[in-house]
Amino acid sequence: MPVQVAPGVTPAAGQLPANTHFTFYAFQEDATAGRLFAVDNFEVHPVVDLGSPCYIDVGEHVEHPGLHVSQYEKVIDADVGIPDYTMPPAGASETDKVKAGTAHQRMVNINLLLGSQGNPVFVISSASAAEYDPASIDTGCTDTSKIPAPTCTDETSNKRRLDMCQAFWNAHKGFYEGTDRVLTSPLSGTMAGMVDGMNPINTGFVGGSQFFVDEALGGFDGYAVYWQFDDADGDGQPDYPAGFPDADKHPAGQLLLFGTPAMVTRDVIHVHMTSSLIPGLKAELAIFANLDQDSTHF
Amino acid sequence: MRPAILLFGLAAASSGCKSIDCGPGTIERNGTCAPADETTVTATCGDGTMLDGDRCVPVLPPTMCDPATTTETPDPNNPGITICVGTGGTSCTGAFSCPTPAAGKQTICGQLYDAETNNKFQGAATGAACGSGDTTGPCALAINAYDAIAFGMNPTGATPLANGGVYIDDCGRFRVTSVAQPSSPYIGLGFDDANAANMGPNGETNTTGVAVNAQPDTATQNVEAWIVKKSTTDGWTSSGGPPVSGGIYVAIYRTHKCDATGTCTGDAFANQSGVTITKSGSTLPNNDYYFTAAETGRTTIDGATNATGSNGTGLLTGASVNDLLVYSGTGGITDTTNCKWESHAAASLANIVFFQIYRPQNQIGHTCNQ
Repeated sequence: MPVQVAPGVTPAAGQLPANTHFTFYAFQEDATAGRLFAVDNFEVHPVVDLGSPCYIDVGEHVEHPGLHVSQYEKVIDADVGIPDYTMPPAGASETDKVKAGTAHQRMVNINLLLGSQGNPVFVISSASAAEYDPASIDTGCTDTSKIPAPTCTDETSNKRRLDMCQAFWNAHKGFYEGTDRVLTSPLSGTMAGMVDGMNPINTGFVGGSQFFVDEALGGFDGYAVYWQFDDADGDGQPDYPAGFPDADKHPAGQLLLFGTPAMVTRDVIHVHMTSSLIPGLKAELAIFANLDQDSTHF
Repeated sequence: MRPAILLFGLAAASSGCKSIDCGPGTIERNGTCAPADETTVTATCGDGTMLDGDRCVPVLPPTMCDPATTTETPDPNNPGITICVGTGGTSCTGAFSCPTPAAGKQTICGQLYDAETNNKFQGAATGAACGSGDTTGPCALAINAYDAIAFGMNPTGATPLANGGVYIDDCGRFRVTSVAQPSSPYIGLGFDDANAANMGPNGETNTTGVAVNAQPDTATQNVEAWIVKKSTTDGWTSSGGPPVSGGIYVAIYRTHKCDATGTCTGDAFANQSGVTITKSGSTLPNNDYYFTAAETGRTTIDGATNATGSNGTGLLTGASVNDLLVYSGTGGITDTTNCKWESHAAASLANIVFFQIYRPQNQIGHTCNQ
């Protein structure tokens, strides 16, 4: 599945720019025309982004609200006075040893989620055209008008980072910012599910997603997923990058997956979706078109 | 890009007493009929194509390959095109088929190399499939797949993973089809002479192994595997290296980072000099061995050096898989702010030579471009 890279990162083969999204369409055609009906937008991201200025700890239960997670082990080590968890100083308490070791393991787990040993975890999330403005991110710790750099770990910086990040999230409800603490409860945005794969921390299966939509989806000739550039400037046109071929500019974007309905059983429409863009990419779609009908059984 | 399956469930809430029926060209959205977001004209589709979404696609079905003689494979020069690759008889330079495995399984494909020379381990190099009973070259070998962790803990008691068959050709290319998934995250491939009389140090190779990430529904391609002749390991021992009887773990440090798709920041085969093997961040001066500095093959140990030379290779004894992912390296990274060596599990198992490639990876919160 093509995954969106973090803002400012050049996508590699098989990846999409950060300012893109996916749209699920219902498709209808007759003798004269084909018609696409946009049903819902979503994005596909790595579950967490250590490069995000707002990948932070949030909540009353965390040691340092607003602390950038990349600095977690360093700060906890300083808290407990154990610079190296493998060599705790004489006299260190068991509680502090556990804290230092746990902090290290958290960073290891984050890297596992990001694919340090293969099998990165990707989430299907709500969509937003918003991005953190690079100009709003401080390279130091003193500019009170900007989000402090991740390496600023003092409580004042943490507080400012927390406030500014939460303000950004509140202003952009669909914006996804994940956390390793609870994968299914992101800091911002909503998570619809995960791309099929394996959780590299515990080797458990992950995958599957669901959307609840207002559209009546029965009776269509096909269903499709397209990817398209965002319209962050609000001019009604996708924000195509310079040099993007005119021939590839379509209102709906680039067709990624398409399938026709089959096996309508007990009001559940099954669609096997395949990709002409990426051989081997496929998806199974189950549409529960009449949830309130007694004829639907699970 | 790794193909994946995206599972959807869509639930459309609708009234129990349906009050409207939307006509053609509209959709019922939250109780009202709304027009299409995009409309296309079927007349724009040319001969041999039909409307698919908002564009024209070929009328003919996707490429169908004869399953008896070919497999469907993305064209290496144009991944958007599916080509049929013969299961045998092509030259060594042609594409090697690595088909999608059966559901829930993993197919692993790669190339054998001779650890001493670093050259591909080939026979007649015609691309012909190996027959049975060959006693030389890659066609003399057998391959078994294991749960890598279980094998590392108990090599004599581990049970091979079920698979759909092993294919080796005289180019030294191999394919283990539809391997069942292990309970650990890693699959180990074991290589040895097929002839029981030649198993172990004798014959074409010592027993060797490599590990790959377990990834169901994936065709894992371009896996590097090695054979090591007895004369080679004898040469290591006589020049000051460890005997294979105690088990040898071979760490090969490569200069450039590669992502999960196999895309690298530079030459994927470039070796890195100046690296010392570490365990939990500490070097292992009593257990590591390195080759002479200028050597690009792997023939002679230099007891005076404590880091990799031109071949990027170090040997390690006494490694245990029970230590998990604590083995890595120090040195040879030019950008230590952004890059560090990968960490892997390691095992020095009696009479087995196990190979592991190490590459630079991102420091936490940084992007490595080495």
